[in-house]
Amino acid sequence: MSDRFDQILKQALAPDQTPDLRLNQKILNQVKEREEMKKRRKWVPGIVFSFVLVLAAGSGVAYAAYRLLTPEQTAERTGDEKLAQAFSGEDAVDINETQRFSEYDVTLMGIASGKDISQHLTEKNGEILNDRTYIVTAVARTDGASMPENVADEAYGDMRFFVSPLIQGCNPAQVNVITMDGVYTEFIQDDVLYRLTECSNIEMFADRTVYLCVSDETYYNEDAYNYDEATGEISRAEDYKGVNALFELPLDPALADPEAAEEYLAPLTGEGEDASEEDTYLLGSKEADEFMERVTPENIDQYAERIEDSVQTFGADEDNLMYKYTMEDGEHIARYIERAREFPDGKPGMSERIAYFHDEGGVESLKMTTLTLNTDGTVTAAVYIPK
Amino acid sequence: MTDIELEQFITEYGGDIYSFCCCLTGSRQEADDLYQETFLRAIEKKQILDAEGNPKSYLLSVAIRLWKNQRRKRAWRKRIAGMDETGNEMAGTDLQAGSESSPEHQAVRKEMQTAVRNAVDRLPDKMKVTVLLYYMEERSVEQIADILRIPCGTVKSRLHQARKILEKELEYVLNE
Repeated sequence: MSDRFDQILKQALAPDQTPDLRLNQKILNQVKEREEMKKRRKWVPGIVFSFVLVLAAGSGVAYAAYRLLTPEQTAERTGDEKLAQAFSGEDAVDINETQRFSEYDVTLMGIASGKDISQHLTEKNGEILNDRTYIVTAVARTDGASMPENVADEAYGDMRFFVSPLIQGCNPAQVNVITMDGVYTEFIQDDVLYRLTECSNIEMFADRTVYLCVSDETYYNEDAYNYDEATGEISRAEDYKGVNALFELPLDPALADPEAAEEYLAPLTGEGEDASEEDTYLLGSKEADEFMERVTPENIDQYAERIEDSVQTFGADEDNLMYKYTMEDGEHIARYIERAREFPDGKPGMSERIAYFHDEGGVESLKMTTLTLNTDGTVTAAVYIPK
Repeated sequence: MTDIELEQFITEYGGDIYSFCCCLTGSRQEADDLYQETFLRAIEKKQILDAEGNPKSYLLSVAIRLWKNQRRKRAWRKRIAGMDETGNEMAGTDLQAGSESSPEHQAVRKEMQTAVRNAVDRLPDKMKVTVLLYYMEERSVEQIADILRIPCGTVKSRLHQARKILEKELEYVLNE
């Protein structure tokens, strides 16, 4: 790769935009408003539960072992007695599995699923969603440092976690707690962040591996996990530096309902957004390259049609200049014209060099530019699109 | 952080962050929103900005996270190439002043800039962000790894792949 190319990229991409002064003033005003809001906020302290420090047997290293609230207590703490009862029932699953990261311990505490098991209603477009799964997780700092118990505390805003069930065979970028109508409630108590996450009932997927991911960021973090398209398995990205916990949920396979699962997933996976943009782009690129391998100056009219509006002719004495055309959709097409390069033998006809551009849409998005040397020495440039 | 310090902070980093937001979003209006939210989020975490670390890298990481989130929410599918309504002013801005400043050379530089920016915008998101951090914001490979929370090797790989694609896309325009 040439240094010149690097230099061109640096020059072309050098920052050259300045924000409107009013925009900066707006930021300053909003900061002041938020400061005022914080002063007015109040926090009602919750029930205090105990916290113990023990020595890890055999390790010689002291670390905090947290006496966590139970899932039942967590539900109670959110004011949902009905859900608390569900968590103490036979159908609930107590898990209590912890995964440790450099800054945080993440614990999956328990799951409860079923119809009408919560007294809090979740509504979507006027419809009550009543067949739900509830998952309790806890996050605590590994260094024992305190966690902010006040929502007005700036540090509270730093803690952004994404907690979501993930389904084997479904791309997590498409199927996760957000697309599964998820909501959550969280609170901090005794330096532990508890989160009660609810979403559509996941028991229908029980014949597959159903995971629970807990990662930093507010949305699904593609850098934190790997999705194997071939097997449908999801795994932690081992070299990820942040939090990327992944648990397997112990669901009873007898509860699976593949038909309902298929019906549920269809709208979620039908038009997934950028599940893997690189792959999509490369596929599109491959398709476009294969198409262009067949196209020559002699047969281009078989494969593509010329956009008549794009045709421009440059004088016999014009050289080293830019041809440019704007497509109907606003896309700019440009091509540099250098006669010696395009027509080395000086013979009239279309240059062998047919430039082409595309995006992840492959052939559908393909645009070709051609340069033709005319007998009077003029050069005609044009844009072609596939037929 | 006092009001004056805050103003100085915005003045110092505003241009770089705003340019980055413009290229990420491809739209002036969305860039305004992203820029504003980036500073508000960052300012909320005063201890980070007051620290001796690297505020610019931190601001960039906040902008990227917000952009990713917004993008998923809104399913943005914008292309700088198709942004006539709001983006012409960005696509057509001058390159950095060079030694050649005749109107012809300026025109060629402008065209080159537009072609490069369009090509960068067409890159897959992961590559685009890496390229912008490297070439636009002049972050080192190590700093990019830190901002994106990925290994240095992955940053190098993305840069390499991106350069290959860009070289192919810009072959004719660059006239190498």
